[in-house]
Amino acid sequence: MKVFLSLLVFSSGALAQTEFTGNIRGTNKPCALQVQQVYYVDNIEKPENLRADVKASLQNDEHLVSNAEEFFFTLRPASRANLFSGTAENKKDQLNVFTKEGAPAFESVVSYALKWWHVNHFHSAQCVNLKNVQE
Amino acid sequence: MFKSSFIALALSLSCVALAQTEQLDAIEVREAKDFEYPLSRVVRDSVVKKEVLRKERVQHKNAVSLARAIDLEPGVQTTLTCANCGSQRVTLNGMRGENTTILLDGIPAYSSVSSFYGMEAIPMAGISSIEIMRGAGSSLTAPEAIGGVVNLVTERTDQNRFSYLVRGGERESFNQQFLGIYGSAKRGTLISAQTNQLGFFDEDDNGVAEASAQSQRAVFIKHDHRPSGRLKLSLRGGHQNLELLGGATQHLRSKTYPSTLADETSFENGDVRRSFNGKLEQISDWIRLKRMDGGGSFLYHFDGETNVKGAFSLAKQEQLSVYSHGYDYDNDDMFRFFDLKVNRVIGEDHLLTVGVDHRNEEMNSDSKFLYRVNDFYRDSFTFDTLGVYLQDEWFISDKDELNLVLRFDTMNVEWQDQRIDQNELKGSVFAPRIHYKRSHTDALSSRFSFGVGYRAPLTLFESQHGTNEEGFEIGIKEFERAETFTYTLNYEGPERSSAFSATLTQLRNMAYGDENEEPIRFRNASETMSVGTFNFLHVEKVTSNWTVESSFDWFRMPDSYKDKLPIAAQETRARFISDYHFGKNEFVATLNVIGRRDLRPYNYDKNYNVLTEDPDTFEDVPTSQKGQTAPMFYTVDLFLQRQMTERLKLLAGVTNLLDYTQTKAKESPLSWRIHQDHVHLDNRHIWGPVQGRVLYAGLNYQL
Repeated sequence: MKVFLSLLVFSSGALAQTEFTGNIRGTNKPCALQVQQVYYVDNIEKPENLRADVKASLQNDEHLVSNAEEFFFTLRPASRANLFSGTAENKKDQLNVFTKEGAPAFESVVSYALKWWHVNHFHSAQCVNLKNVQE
Repeated sequence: MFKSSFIALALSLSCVALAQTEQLDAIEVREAKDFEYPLSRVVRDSVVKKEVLRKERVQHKNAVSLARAIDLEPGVQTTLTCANCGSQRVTLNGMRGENTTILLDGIPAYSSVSSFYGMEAIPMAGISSIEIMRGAGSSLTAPEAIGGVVNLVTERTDQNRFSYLVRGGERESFNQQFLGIYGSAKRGTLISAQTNQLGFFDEDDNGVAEASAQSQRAVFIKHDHRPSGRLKLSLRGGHQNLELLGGATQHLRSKTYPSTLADETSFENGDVRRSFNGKLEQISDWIRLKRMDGGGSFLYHFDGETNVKGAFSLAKQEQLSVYSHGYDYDNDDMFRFFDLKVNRVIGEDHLLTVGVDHRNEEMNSDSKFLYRVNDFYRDSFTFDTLGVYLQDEWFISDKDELNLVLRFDTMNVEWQDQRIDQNELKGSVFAPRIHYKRSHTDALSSRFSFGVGYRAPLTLFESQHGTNEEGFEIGIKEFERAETFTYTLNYEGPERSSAFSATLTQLRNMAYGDENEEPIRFRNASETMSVGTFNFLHVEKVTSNWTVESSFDWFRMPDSYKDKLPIAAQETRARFISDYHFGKNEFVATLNVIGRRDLRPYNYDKNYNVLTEDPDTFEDVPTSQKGQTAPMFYTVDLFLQRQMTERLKLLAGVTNLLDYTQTKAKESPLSWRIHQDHVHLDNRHIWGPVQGRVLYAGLNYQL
C-alpha cells in the first residue's frame, strides 16, 4: 500500500518531513500523522493547487489487518479553510486533516479523522491533541 | 395392595425417560386418569411435575412445529432471536434456548446446535402429546437439562388409524399433516409426514421483512415390535427439511455473502423505517437445514422384579446459510446417544435403577468468508460425555413418594480449531436430583424438587447470531451449572384443576459472548445468576360444554442476566382460553397478555432508527433511538371446528386476530446498532409479535 498518489508534479519548495503525534479520541492509544511532502500542482502556487502526501497511522487492535496500520493519502484543500481531505488508492479509505487557523498549512496540525475499510464495512477514528514531535 | 400395584406399575413404566415401550404403558395409565380428570394439565401420578400439552391444543394454536406448539405454555417462551434469520428458540423458566433438552419418546435426540434453527423444523405430525418438565434436573435421569426437558411423545402403534389434515390461508400459509398407523398388540408401524409453508411479513412495507418466509418438510417412521410379554422393541427414523428466507421480500436465495454491509445510504434518509434501496444481499438471510435421525430402544423383563432397558439415538444435521451480516456459514452436526439401565424392585417400597449413558457430538463448519478469505478460527468441536446414575423411587406411604437420583458425568469438549491457549475443557459434574411428592388429600398435592443441571458450552453459534463476521474466540474455563429449587401445589378435581409453582434457578458459569471484545470472546460470567419463575394455572369446567383456562407467569431475572440474553424475555404475562362446545362445533378463543418491560437492561439502548455520517469526523451518528419500553400488549387467536361427518371435520381460525405487531406499533425489529466504534444494521430489536393476522381454513379427515 506504500504507493503515493498524485506524483505528477513535485514542488521545488517541498517541506521537509514533519511528524505529529497525538492520541485517539477517548483513549490513550497513540496515533500519528507524518507529512512527507507538500507541493503545488503544476508549480502554480494557488491555494487550490496545494497538495500534501501524508501517512496516517494509529493503533487499533481490533479493526486493522496487520499490514494496514499506516494509511497513505494525498491531501488537497476541502470546501472550507483549515480542512484538507484525501481518498486513498483503494477509493475507500478517507482522511480529513484539520490544521491550525492562521498558521501555514501542515506546519501545525490539530487533528485528523480517518475512515478505513475493514473486511466489508467502515471504521473511523479521530486522532486529537496532535503535536509536532520536533518542537 | 396399593403398594404392590405401585410396584407393578412402576416396573412396567420403569422410571422415566425411555422410549416408546414405556410410553405405551404410560399412556394407558394416563388415559384412565384423564378420563377421571379431563382438565388436568399435570400428570397426576408422576413425582416429577410434568405438564402435558395434548395434540388437540396444538391444533387449536395452528402450530406446525415444536417452537410454536409450546410457546406461551406455563414457563415456556419461544423467542425469535433475529428477525431476518427466523431462528426460534425454546426457553424454559427463563433459561436460554441452549439450556432446553429435547427428548423424543424419552430419548435425547436434539443437540444444542439443533436448538438454534431445529425447533422450527420439528414437525407436529405423529406427535400425540408434549411433556414439559421445567427446571434443572427436572427429568430425573436425562443428562444436562439446565432449563428443563421437553419430551415429544409420538402416537401409539397398537392401533389402526389414518388421518389427513390440511390447512391453508393468508400469507401463503399452507400445511398438510398425514398420519398412518397400522398395528396390533404384537406390532405396529407409524408413518407421518408434514409439509408447511408460510410467507413473509413486511408490515411497514419498507422492503425488509420482519418475519422470514419458511418452508418445511418432514417424514417420520416408527415400528414397534412386542413379540412377547417380556420383550418390547422399537425403531424409528425421520427426515426433516427447513428453509428460511429472511429480509428481502423477493424470495432471494442468495448463494454468496454481500461484499459490503448495508450503511446509511442503503435506506431513504438513513432511516430503517423507510424504503430500503441498497443491494438485496445486504438484508437477506438464507438458511437451509437438513436433518436425518434414527433411534431405537428395547425393554426386556427378566422376571416380575427386574428389567433392562436400552436406547440409542443418532442424528445428523446439515446447515447451509448465508447471512446479511456479510458471511456464509455451513455446518455438519453429528449427534449420538446411548443409554442402558437396569430396574429392580427392592423390597416392597423401592424401585432401584442403575444406568449408564453416553453422548457424543461432533460439529464441523465451513465458510468461504470466515475461513478462506479470512483466517478466522473455525467453529468446530467434539463433545463426549459419559454418565452413570443411580435412582431410587421410594414409595414411603400412600401419601408420600420420594425419588432420588445421583448422577455423575465426565465431560470433554475440544474446540479443534481454536488456536489460542485454551481449546479444551475437561471435567466432571456430580448432579443429584431429589423430587418429593406429598398427597395432602386425593385431590391436593405438593411437590418439592431440587435438581442439578449442567451444560458444556459447545458452539458459539448456539449463543449468538452465529459467529460474526469478525470470527470468535473461546475463553470458556468452566461448564455451566445450575441448581433449581421448585415447589408446586397442585389441585386436581373433576370440575377444576389448579397448579401453582415457584422455581428458583441458580445458574453458575453462564457462558456468553463478550461483545466488548473483537473478535467476540466467549467466556463464563463470574456472577451467579438467580432466575425465579412463578406460575399459576387454573382450569375450570364452567358448564358441561364450556371450559375456561387461565394462567399467569412471572419471570424474575437480574439485570446482569438480561444483559447476556440475545433477546428481551417476557417478564409477566397472562393467558385466558375459552373452549366451548355447541352441537357439533367447538370454538376456542385465546387471549394472551404480555406485560410492559424496560428494554434497556437487554442492551436495546444501542438500537437506533436513523444513521448519518458526520462529514468532518466520519463518525457514525445514530439518532432516533428505538423505544426502550415494550408496552403491554395482547393478542387474540380463534379456532372453530365442526364435525361434518363421523370422519370429517372442517376447521377455520385466525391467529393474531387484532393484527398486533410491534412494527405496527412503530417499532420494527430493524435497527442501527452501535457496536464498539461503528454502527451496523441489525434486526434484533425484538419484543413483540412480528407476524400479523393469518386467517386459515382446512379439514381433518380421520379413519
